[in-house]
Amino acid sequence: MPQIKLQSSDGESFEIDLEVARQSVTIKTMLEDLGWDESDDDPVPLPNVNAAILKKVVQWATFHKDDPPPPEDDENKEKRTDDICTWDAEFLKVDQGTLFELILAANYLDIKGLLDVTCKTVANMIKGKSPEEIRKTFNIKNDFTPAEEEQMMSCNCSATME
Amino acid sequence: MDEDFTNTKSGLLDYLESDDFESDLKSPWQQFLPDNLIFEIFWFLDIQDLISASKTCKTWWRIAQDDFLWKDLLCKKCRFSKNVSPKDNNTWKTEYKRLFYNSCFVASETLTEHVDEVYHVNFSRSGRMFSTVGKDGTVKIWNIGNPTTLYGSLDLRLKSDSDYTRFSEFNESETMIMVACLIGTGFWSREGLIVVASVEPNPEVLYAVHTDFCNFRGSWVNDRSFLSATIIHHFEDFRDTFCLKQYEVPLSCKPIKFKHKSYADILEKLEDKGKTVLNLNRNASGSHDFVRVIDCQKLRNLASDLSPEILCPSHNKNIDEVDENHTDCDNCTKCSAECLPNTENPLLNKKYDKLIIMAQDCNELSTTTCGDIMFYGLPSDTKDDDDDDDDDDSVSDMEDKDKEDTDFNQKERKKANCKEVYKICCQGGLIGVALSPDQRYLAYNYRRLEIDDEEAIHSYSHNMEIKAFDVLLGQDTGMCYKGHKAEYTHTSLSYIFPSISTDYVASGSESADAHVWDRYYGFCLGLLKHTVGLNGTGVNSVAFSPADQEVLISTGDDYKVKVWRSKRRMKELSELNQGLTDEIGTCSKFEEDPRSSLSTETKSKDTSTAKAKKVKKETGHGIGCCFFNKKKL
Repeated sequence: MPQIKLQSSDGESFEIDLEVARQSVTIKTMLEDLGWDESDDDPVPLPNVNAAILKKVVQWATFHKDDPPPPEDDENKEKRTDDICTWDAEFLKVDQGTLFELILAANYLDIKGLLDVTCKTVANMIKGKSPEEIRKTFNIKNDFTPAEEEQMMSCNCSATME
Repeated sequence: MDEDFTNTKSGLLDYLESDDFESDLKSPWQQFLPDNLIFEIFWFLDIQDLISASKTCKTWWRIAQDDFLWKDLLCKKCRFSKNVSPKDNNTWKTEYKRLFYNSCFVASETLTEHVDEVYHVNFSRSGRMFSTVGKDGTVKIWNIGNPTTLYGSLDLRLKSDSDYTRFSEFNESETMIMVACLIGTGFWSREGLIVVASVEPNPEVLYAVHTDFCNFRGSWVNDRSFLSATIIHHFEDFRDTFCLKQYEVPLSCKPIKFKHKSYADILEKLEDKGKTVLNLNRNASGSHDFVRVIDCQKLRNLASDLSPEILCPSHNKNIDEVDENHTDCDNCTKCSAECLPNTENPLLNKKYDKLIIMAQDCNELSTTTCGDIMFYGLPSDTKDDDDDDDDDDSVSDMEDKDKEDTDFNQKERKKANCKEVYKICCQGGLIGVALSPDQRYLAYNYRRLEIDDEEAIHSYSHNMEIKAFDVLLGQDTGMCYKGHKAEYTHTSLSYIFPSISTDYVASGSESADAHVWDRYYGFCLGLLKHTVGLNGTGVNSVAFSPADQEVLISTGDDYKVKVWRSKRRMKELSELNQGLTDEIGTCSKFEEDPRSSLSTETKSKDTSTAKAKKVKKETGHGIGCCFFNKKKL
């Protein structure tokens, strides 16, 4: 099994299976563009991902390496958030900071499966909560002016769309 | 602080875990997550959660307004195809609100005055009143309101208890009502009567004509004239002609004592003074059940009022695949729509004063017949002669004097100067037609013919379908509304009257419910439930109020007339009632406790007293309004 080296933003190197790494469309494209072959020993630099997060990403990608490729056309995909597999649910029992970084990393590395599951996790944290509860959960500051808030209430259909 | 953070993005973890994070003004979720990622998260939210999330902060609010999110929510929920475009260039958010808030019909009132199955409901033009008819042989006139009350009721049975009423329609000024009755004349035989009654608390029969087609429903053609149908027998060649006649209700007509008369007595009174409007060769297997009349001037006004609507054929994804086996029909809607140049809609021809829509139905299953809907143009009485060749004889000149005349045929045909303008073939058995209040859309309910391998018809489909024809554009809308079922039999048809408004389409079914669809998307917005009746499960008729398409009436075999209102209207009503309750609460004098009066009304099982209002409120908000109605209205 060919191996590839990935280097995190803080200089740590990870040696992983090529097939695992190729789940990242970003890495896959990079390797194709660079004409990478097995004899290459240079690490692939990932300046936007630190070691802690990269370790998590690699862990996720290793577990999911045999997954079927995600369907290209997600227009008709069911919008479910209750279909997170138990391994992923356990894997994502992390603090909000890590979850936040994982979303950014999944986006940067273009790993659809990881992006989906992390976004679903965040969506689940929003679900069933009032605006105030959501603010509390994510430490969001209410930056509406009172006037805006009033305007929002009048033009927003939420007041009527219960 | 912010600078610090962005400079060392990889140090975010440390930052998040530090005390600085707690005291910082904004959360990274709010500040540092790119829009597209917030969008990705929001994409997984349902409507209610999306709204809650949007109210947390400006950034999230802005992203939650993205119409792609709303399109996605809507398309997923309604299973729209991807390339559907929103109606009238609305935003998807607006459409979401329209479909799931305005269009959600909830049971508002149940009227239990009828003591047998209720066959038909029809609104007056203004939408202030509606009428119901049914197996109990009565026509009931209702004032729609808060609550809806019975205005008048008329028993149109003669001697037989099996007589019944099946269709009614108000005239334009709402002073008269036309009722189609089926009267038993012998042990098995039944005859059709078209009766005109006054609209008042104690309605009286003003006029009545016999029709040879007992299924014929009739229609008002102007404020004092209505259409009925007779057969003309041509003994010389054993041919029958279907003859559509226009009868004028005289200004001074004495009320006819209707009840307890024999049919013969009534017949004597019938003044057969009608003038022939239309003659058709009669197809032995076909019957003409429905006739509708469109005022051409109104239609032309509508055409000039509306900006030309751009039809997007690609949005009609549920357009029917034309049955490949069905090749014997040359005039199917698809073909004829294609043959016609859109710019010249023959239905808008200035020659015509009225358009008469005749729906021909097939009573018997056969390979060759399916229901046709024919449009005939009726020129105005005072003709402004233009280029036309063979309709120079004015209708008014010709009075039918001599029925035995040998050249009667020719005369009759000449008199009937209606011209066939358009034909819709509906590929199945027609079970009901309805015009929208603005007369733009014609909805027709039908059941497809199911053809077996040997090309011999064996049944009508159990699935009903509704198609909508755009009279203004002279073409099919391409929409097909499905989901309502016929349960009884697959060899014969029973009538289920649909209703169509600007935005919605509705129809009953034979499975104790009515469906409401969005007219534009064809998406089923919900089921309106009736109960199972003693002898049937039909919801025979529905009607949208012409004054407010968010009010719908349905009638069923469970003897019930139900009033449905949109959530929005219900909310308005409950607010109004709340206000009234408060107002009444401040009054010192109560004649009766509104609560107790309601409960006795609801519990009352007495159906014999015709005038007792048994309006059962299903909302719980109606207490104040019942009371209000008694006091003030």
